[in-house]
Amino acid sequence: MTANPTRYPTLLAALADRAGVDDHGYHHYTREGQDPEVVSFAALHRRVQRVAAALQERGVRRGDRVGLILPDSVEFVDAIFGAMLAGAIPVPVYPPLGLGKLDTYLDNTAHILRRAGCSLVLTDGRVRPVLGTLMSVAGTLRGIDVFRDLAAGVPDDATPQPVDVGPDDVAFLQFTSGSTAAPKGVMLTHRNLAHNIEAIGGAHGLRIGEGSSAVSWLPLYHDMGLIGFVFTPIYFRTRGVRFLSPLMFLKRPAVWLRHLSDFRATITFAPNFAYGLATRRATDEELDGVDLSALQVAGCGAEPIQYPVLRGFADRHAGRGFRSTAFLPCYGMAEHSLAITFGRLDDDLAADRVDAGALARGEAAPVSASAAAGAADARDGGELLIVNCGRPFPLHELRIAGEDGETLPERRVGHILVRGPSVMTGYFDDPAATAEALSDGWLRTGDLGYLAGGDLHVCGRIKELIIVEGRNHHPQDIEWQASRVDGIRAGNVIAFGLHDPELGRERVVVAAETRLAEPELAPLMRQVRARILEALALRVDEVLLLPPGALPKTSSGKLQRARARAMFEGGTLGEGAGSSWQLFRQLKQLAASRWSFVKASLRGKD
Amino acid sequence: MSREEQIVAVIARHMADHLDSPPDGPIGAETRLVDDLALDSMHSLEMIAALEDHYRVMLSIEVLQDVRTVGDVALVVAGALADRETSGGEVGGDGGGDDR
Repeated sequence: MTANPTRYPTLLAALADRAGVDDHGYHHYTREGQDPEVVSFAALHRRVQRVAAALQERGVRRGDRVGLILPDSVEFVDAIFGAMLAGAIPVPVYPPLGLGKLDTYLDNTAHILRRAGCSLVLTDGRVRPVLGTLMSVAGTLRGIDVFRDLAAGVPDDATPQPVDVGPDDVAFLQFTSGSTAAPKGVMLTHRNLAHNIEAIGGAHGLRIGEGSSAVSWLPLYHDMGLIGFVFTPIYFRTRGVRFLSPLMFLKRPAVWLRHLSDFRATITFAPNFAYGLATRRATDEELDGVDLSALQVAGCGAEPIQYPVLRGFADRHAGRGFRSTAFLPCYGMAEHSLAITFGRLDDDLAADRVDAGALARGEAAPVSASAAAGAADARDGGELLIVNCGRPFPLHELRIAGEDGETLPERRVGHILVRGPSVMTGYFDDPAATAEALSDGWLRTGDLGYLAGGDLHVCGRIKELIIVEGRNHHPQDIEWQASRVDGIRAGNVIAFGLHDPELGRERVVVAAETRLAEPELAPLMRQVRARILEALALRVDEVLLLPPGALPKTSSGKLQRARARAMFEGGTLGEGAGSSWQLFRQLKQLAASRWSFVKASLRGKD
Repeated sequence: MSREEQIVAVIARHMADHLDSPPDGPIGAETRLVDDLALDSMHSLEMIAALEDHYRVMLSIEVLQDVRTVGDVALVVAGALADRETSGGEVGGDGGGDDR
């Protein structure tokens, strides 16, 4: 790979170049009903010096990992740049969501801190008390500090010892999964970030300039919020960014649109589900006077994009000046810094209409509009609308590969592979996982897609990944949590997601074996749901309890997820699966368990 | 019916309308949000917004850190209503969560 220069070698260089910019910056609307806290780029530059000095005084040295558990966006932004400037590697960790028990949250957080080998955690006064036990379970941890107190410990004008941070240094670790079984820390260098940011904001991207302004409620511990709305605006010296807390958006989706209108924002991004919420849950009363005509880019990524959801948003808000040409479907992932492909600016939202049956067999066969009108019902599996996600950026390559690694022609579905300067250097301290993901510079995205007219169409994850509300859930994590519930046969759980147009997202199904019978089944189902909700903040749509031996396994005893899902879709999961010698016994057990299910659900109704 | 009981009834009605899979039995003050209703953060915030609209009070997002049951939520709402009455109509934004 040739080393193409970027405008700034590091994010710190970009920040230093903004030291005199006191009329552009961040507007943090993190507390409901209160005035925003405005931090100009110049003010941020000053504040970060002090934070870095305080961290060095605390003993943080070059290359140390510092965990950030900071729900407040003002503190988060100060802390992440401060840690970088001190020479450390910040590790954003999701904060507790507040609902439910904390022990599973702590379990997961301890895993991440251990995995990253963090020596220090910065948090706030509200979260600090619940993190008390982490010290004893994360061996490398020397302290859990309240960020505000730490920064206050040095004078206002303190400056850090200079640390030479270069383009090949790791800028931060992005953990891919907020969970347990195998959380992996994506290592992104300053060079990776600079290239991806230039791709995002440059001539083949959003063409960000000084007139650009943005509104984001995305969590900052997630790559889309952090790279897209904290790092990119500094790099391009944008007019300003308004941050709302994710919870404010989830409470009242209309708040997002209200801020877009008030700020005359030109750019926003959100996952598919958010556009659905802002269509369904924002009332006309809440949206009175909202004007979205300034909006040029309504980016959509981080989870599968559903054409009807975005169309629904456009129809609902057309009267408020929203133009569907603002939609910018994109494809990306943490291992590629953030963005892999973008739709073209000013193009209308476009989708490829393909035959569903053929697609399942790996062929993206177009269905003409006239044929679809007549024969849609007769077709096997009907038709699907696959959103056009555009093209990769200059200096970046993308190809679709078959099972043996061969490059496939247009309209053939295969593995999406990408190469270029945005690809991570690897997973932190995990050579095995790194070797699995990277070969010869190519990153295996784990997603399936095809090219049509040179544009990427993403049609599915590698079968098993479950993506809900912008977050990737590995079935192993869900299964592991379910296995820890008393009454569930450990290791005999399969989790999978199904595309559900009615829900507007993936339907999450957990199938688990148990020896228990009625009346313990209904409480057991609730415990499984509650456990997964607490541990992974994931809502399970369906829990299927099955007798021992009902889940499909290979001859060597490995769980077969894809087969379980196919059986579930065909209505045969739990109906005599498994090797034939077990069949009779299973059918008997099944009859018993089905019957108890019927009784349990009847009882629930009265 | 006490005020809290009335609020519990409002919450129960909201849940019945909005949950994909309502629980077996009736929803009461002792019903737990996570363990019994499998309520996630999105649904719980939707509930908070619905209660704000219904009672015309401001309920801070932070109340969710302190509640476990439907009864806990009802107490928070009752506290916000009491604040509004004592302050003569104006409702203070924060502090609802601490008013037990």
